[in-house]
Amino acid sequence: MEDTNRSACAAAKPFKKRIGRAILWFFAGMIVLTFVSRAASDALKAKVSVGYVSTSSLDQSLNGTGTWTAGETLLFTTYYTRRITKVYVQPGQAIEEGAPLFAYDVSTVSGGKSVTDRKVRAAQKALDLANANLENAADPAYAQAVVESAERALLFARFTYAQTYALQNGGVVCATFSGTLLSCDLSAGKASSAGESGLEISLGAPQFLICVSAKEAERISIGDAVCLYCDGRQEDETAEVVSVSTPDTDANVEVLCRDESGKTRVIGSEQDWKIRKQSEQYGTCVPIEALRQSGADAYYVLVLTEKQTILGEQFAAEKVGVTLIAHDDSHAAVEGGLDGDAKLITTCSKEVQDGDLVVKNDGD
Amino acid sequence: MKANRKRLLPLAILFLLALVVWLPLWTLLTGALTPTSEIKERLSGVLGASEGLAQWRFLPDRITFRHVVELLLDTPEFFRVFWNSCIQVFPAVAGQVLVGAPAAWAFSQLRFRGRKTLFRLYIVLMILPFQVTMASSYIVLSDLSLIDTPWAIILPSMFSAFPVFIMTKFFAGIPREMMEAARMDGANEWAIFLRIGLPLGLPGILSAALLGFVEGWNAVEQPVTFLKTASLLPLSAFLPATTVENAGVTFVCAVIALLPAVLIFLFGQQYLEQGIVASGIKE
Repeated sequence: MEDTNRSACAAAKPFKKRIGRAILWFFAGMIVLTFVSRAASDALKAKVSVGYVSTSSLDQSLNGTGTWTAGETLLFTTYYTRRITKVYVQPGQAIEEGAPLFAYDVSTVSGGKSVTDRKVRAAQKALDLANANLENAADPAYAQAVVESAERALLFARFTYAQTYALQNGGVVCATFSGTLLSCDLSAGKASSAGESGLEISLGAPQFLICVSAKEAERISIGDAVCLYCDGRQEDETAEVVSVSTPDTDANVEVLCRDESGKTRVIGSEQDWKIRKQSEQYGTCVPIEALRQSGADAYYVLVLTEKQTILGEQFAAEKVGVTLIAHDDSHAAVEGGLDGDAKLITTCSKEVQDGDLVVKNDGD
Repeated sequence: MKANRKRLLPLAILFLLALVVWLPLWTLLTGALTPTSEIKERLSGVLGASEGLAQWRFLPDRITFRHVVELLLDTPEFFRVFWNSCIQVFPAVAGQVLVGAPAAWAFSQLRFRGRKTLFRLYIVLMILPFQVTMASSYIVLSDLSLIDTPWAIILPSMFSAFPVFIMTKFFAGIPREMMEAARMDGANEWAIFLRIGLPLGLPGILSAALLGFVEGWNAVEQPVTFLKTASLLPLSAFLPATTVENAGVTFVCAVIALLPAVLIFLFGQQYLEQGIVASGIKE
């Protein structure tokens, strides 16, 4: 009996050894597979970051680079042919009324009729009359043109009188207008040519010209403040939108802005600008990275669906079609079957399709 | 010839009974290798996808290893759950041996007042089902801030009365003459326990450890009650999440969950049988 037990024990020993080894192999295999599975999962499943649905307005600010342009340009010519002794201004310079422009040589007597201020008074009277007619004009456009013409006539008359006055008072001709000098063909030491040489003046402040697309122009309205940037820094004063043109054949729109800062602007120079705009409040805004396009006007988002299983949380991507209403650089306002607490896939390490299992990035 | 015929009938009956016992295991094994479409077709009735009864065939129409690959290579979460089971079961079993063996030795070999009463109290504690002690255990564990930690499973299991009961039976079988001889040779009680009690009571200790492992490995109520975080739950608690979509993976999961228990059972079958005999309890 004892012998039988002993032989049974002896037979059981190798079997037990084999089972012991099998247990060790099993747990060793599980350790290896733990790492392999993690590595395989990292390699096969896309890692995604998530964003959330929000209620907000969109930033519809516009920016770009604009050009300084002249306003109404007039050529103020010299009334006399005389040697110029000095030119006080240079192109691009802002000119205030009363500022010295140039000086005639008054040491020699030379030709040219003197002008009295009677011509100025006559021009003023014509302007007053034109303004008076403007109110009750049958053709307002024509009446306006008459006023503008009278204004110009007055400007020229005053400048001509200023030159006569200068000849009698030392030769320095002063500005009878405000504006920016665009060009000047007078030079010290050379004689002026009556009625030909002179100063090209842009009246009033220089204007800032912005070119935008027709779609962008929809966001711009007259009176909008335009922030100007110089070397990346925003200027204290803003320009103001004064006119928005109709789209041209290329669907481009010119927006003209008035600068009241009084700063010297170089006509033709470029400067960065920005118009800050906020849209209306939208109920469903998604991060712009979450918005995906499947066709010309077909948009969708991938929603992260969470499956709570005993094996842990598993995540899958679910495609939800949306209609794009508006967007800015960071968010898009959409309409569609999105819940307020939906988790949206924004960025992913590889392409994700509807139904794909994904891994959520840590910290999201 | 007549004797052979006489034996055939009981054998056939036993074979049929064994088949009934084996059928769920066979279902598990074949289910692990059945394509999802076929599982859907057969099990949608019982897994809530449609109405009706489950239809199961002895062998699947087509065999696939997709679920095995999906679980082992594409589901790292499974391994977290697997190691959760290990983290909760192995320390608990080690604790049962460390705490239970001295206690069992004391009950079987030492004579002190109230020994029998204390042992009866142990037996009462042992036969109390988990549902009875659940509320009190929860309160104690909550006061110790152990709820939702692996210790909520490990600690109560470490101080389980069942291994003490089994080991007491084994230690009681050690001849008293051996202890007396050791005492005469100058060995103290601690030395007797370590040098004589543990080696001779090893089958009992292993038996208690194996039964403790099987109990802990298959425990569902304790983890579900004391653990709130899904990522802490052990392998034994995954079945409630079974759906038609993941039934194949769940079958594979069940087969793998079965393996350690089977291997350890085979390893200690001899001791386990002795333990069951000693305890008179069938797990």
